[in-house]
Amino acid sequence: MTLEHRYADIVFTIALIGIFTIAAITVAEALAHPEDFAEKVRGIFNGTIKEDHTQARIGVYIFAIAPLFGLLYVISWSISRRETIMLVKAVIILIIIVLALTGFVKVHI
Amino acid sequence: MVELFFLPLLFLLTVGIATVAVMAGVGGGVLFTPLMLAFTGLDVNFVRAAGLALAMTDSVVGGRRYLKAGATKLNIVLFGSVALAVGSSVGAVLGVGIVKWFGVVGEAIVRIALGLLIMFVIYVMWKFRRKEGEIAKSSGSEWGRRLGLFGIFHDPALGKEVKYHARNVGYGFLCFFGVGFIAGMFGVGGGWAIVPTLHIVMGLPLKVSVGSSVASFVVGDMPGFWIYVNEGVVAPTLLAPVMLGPLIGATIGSKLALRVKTHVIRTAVLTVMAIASVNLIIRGLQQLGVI
Repeated sequence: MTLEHRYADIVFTIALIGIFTIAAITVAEALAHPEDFAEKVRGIFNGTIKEDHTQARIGVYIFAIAPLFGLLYVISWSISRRETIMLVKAVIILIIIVLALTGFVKVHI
Repeated sequence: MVELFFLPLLFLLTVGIATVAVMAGVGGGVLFTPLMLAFTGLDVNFVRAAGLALAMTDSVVGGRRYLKAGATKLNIVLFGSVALAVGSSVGAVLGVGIVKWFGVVGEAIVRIALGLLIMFVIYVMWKFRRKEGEIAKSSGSEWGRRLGLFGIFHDPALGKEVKYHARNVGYGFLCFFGVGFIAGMFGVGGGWAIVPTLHIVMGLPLKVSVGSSVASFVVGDMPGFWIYVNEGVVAPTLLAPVMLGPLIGATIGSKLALRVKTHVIRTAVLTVMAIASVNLIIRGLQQLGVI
């Protein structure tokens, strides 16, 4: 297995977990509170709802963090491919700067 | 009545978009976002965040296939991702900001700008038609060597090994930044621009360019997507059908692609995009009270 294989598998697996988490929680919410859910969907469809407070957000976080796990794996696995490490570090530093600037660290951790 | 079946319909629509997009050789986001903003009353931010998530899902599914086939190298993907990440962050901040600061006028600006952008995308896609077996002549550059943007891949169509070495790395970086900005700002993918950038500007073989383009978006669009998440303008309820669609549609599309005439599908997709772009501009002008 090459580095590309492993990276692709890790990102795909974690992203898939995120997607199915979103779908599962959304279906569970729809079954648990059908009226509230229908009201929310109507609001989203009509553009009257501007924020969606649902537990399915955890799935969004998992999906959006998936590439970071892939990159961290690349760093831990490939010590010999220097230029790869340099690029991975650049991406990770960028992502951390973005998260810090947008207040993620302060608000969510 | 439509509201009741909205989510199942959205799921079917994204399956259809992903199927057609694969056959036409475009990203799902470049179809999804204009269609949603042109023909539905959904919130602009929700749609853009969903479009970005759709482009990332396409990238996760398609990128894995290309990476495993050896049609791209992680170094090229990461090089593109660095510039895309910077661009998508700036674009997302500006995109969310325009709507927050200017309200309805901001939404109108986004719609009109996206309409014009889609017209430009149609022009680029019409002008740059992929030719199988075409290999770019590349002399390679020093920065291409330093960053490891070179390699060999086995082209099954040609039945031989193809060597490549990237050139014009600086220009390529700038192009990636621009595409990232557009992706973050409008929630559309950028394969229509990345493939010509990698192939024409950086001199990589076409198949390597397509593979690298697809695989780059999941990392490159991530910071932009996080900005939408942090601003609280991502609707997970909307994402559920939107992200499941490509998982099924991409598989159907790749199987059907071998049986149908690609140029017919491509013309149909470009026509739909043209209609959506005109409608986007009209809706934007209506929001501004011009017409």
